[in-house]
Amino acid sequence: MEVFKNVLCPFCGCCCDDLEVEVDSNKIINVKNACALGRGKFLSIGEHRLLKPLVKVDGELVETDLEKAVEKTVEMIKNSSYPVFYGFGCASCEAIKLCLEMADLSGGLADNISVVCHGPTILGLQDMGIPSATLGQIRHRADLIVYWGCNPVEAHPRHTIRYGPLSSGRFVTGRKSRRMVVIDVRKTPTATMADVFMQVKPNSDFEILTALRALVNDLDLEVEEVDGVPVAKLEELADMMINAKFGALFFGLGLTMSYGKEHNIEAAIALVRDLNKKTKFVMIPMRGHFNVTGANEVFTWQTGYPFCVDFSMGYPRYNPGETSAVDVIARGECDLLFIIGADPCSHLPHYIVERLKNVKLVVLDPSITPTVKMADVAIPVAYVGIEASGTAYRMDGVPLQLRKVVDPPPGILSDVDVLNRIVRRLK
Amino acid sequence: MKIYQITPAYDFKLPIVADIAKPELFEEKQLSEVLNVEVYEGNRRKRFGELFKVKEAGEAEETTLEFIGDFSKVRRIGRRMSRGIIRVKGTAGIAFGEAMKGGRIIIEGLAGPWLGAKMRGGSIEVYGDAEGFLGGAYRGENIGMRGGSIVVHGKAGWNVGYKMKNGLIVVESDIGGFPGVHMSGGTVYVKGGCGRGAGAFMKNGRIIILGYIPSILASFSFEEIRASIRVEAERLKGRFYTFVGDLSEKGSGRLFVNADSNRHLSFYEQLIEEL
Repeated sequence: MEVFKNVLCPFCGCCCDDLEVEVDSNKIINVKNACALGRGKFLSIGEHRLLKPLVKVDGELVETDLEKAVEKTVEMIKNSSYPVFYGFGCASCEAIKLCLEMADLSGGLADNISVVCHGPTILGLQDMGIPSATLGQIRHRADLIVYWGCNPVEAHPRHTIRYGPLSSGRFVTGRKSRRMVVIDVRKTPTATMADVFMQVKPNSDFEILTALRALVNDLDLEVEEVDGVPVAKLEELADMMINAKFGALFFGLGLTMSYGKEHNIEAAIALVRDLNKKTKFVMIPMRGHFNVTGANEVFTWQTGYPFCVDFSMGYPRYNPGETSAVDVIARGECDLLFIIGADPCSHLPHYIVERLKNVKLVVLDPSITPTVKMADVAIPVAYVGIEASGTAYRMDGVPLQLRKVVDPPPGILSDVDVLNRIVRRLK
Repeated sequence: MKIYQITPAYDFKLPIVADIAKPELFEEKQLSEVLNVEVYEGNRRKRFGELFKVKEAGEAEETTLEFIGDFSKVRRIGRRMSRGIIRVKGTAGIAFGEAMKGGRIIIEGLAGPWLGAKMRGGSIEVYGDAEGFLGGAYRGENIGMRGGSIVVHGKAGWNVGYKMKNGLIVVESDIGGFPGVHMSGGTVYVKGGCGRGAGAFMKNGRIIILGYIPSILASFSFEEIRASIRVEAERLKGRFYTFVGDLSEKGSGRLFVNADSNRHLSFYEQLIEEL
């Protein structure tokens, strides 16, 4: 039996890098230090596995070999007048770079899954900047942690233990020396851990943030409550934030995808910016997939834009709403969708999935997903971070190395190898 | 000057970028040359004449382009136009009249998002509804509309007047949330109601809402009740709650809200009594 130490978890944006994976005869038999989600991923890689490339013939998916699947993919991309390359949340940075090259060569549109999660965060920070820090800094220094519109206990299970209120830092140790605030529309398991839980009405986040900001800026509010929250309670929270030595705000889709979207994030950034006039405060988005942050990073260094990049006119153009994959699919404007590291048929709204019936679909995925079942070409790839190495970015923007701990099933290549074959033929 | 009628050669499915389609092009080039100008359909370069049927349809005082049909897939028509008239009888696509400097655009139908984005002069009139970012800026840019006027006789979407610096936007029916967000000048005048977040981050300018507004942001301060407001040549009479903001941005913009349509805001009148 071989034990791999300090393995990076390829599940959520926390990218926990202290996993111990026990492997016997190329089979993972145990995973230590991981949460239930991460452990589940390592131990279930053999389930629902896509083992052979598939090509649709007369409406039925039939097995084929890799060369033919690649050839068919290249032909479809070359014949496409507006291909969309989408996904990347569960792909390595190296694979994302190759996909951007494909989008550039084929005059397509490249977009990552942040368009349906933290896209508004990106739009907000482009307007306002973001006062941020690494998770390590927060672990060692933060004495106030605010979770807004997120539920890490269920979605990022080790966040509170490794970086949040339960973590033990160098200067601030343990739960007793930190205060924890949760702001959400319902009492989540995370909220039950909090010192202060502020329940807000759905879609009232912008008003609450604006009121908090006004209080931090010593403005008098002319109302007694803001969307059902008494001003006295907001004053208490504002005082708690101002009096913190080092505060950290973590926010999730409850903020990015509720009424106001990017304006909520702008208001949150402005609040943190104003708090920094009085104390030290930082903020970090709770990114979902393990490398969606990496997708934004690679997109930015390759094209200048973090998502929604359109190469159709020969140079990168960016206008979320116009050049975002979801809107393009919803308007029925693309004729080919190339998906890697995502499962849009499970995650996108039904009316958009309906649109996929009218476009050619190429999917690179390790397992048989609903998207694979709709595909015209499906190519199996290795699980990045388990069967293939690569680079991923943690939610705070720190790059980390994904490790290979077992070999993929026979005949299955990493996504980088498959993409390299496609790119070579496209050239 | 000539009138040109332009119709789609077929039903478009892919996005088309036709930013060269403006009156100046038709004044400066022969029709045969115009038909050979390249535009993009998806990632393919095509001739203007392959995508559109163009015919001369009489004389007018100014060069007039009449777009007849569904142009919802065609983007940036009238970009940077400075003179002449564009009339749409049908649906206008994304960013129609982007950064226009002069001339007139009349849309008899629906208009897509970013209508009159970054506009500097001229006028746009829509006899139908318009989508979001009316007269707004693009994402990541600092300034939206800088001059001219947009009148929408129907509804409009979110973020009307996004980052607007000058000019006038009039919407005769309801609009979505966040009108005048990041506004630094100009006037947004809405005869219907609006969603939440009016005037967020605004530094200057005026927003007038005659219909229902769900709430006023806490960073706005009640100033007074006015009996009338002037918008261009028109004087609006009634009772208008006047708010100043966004104070968190050290802004001094004005938000005027019709008192009769917003009885739920009547508690602000107590502030007057207290003062």
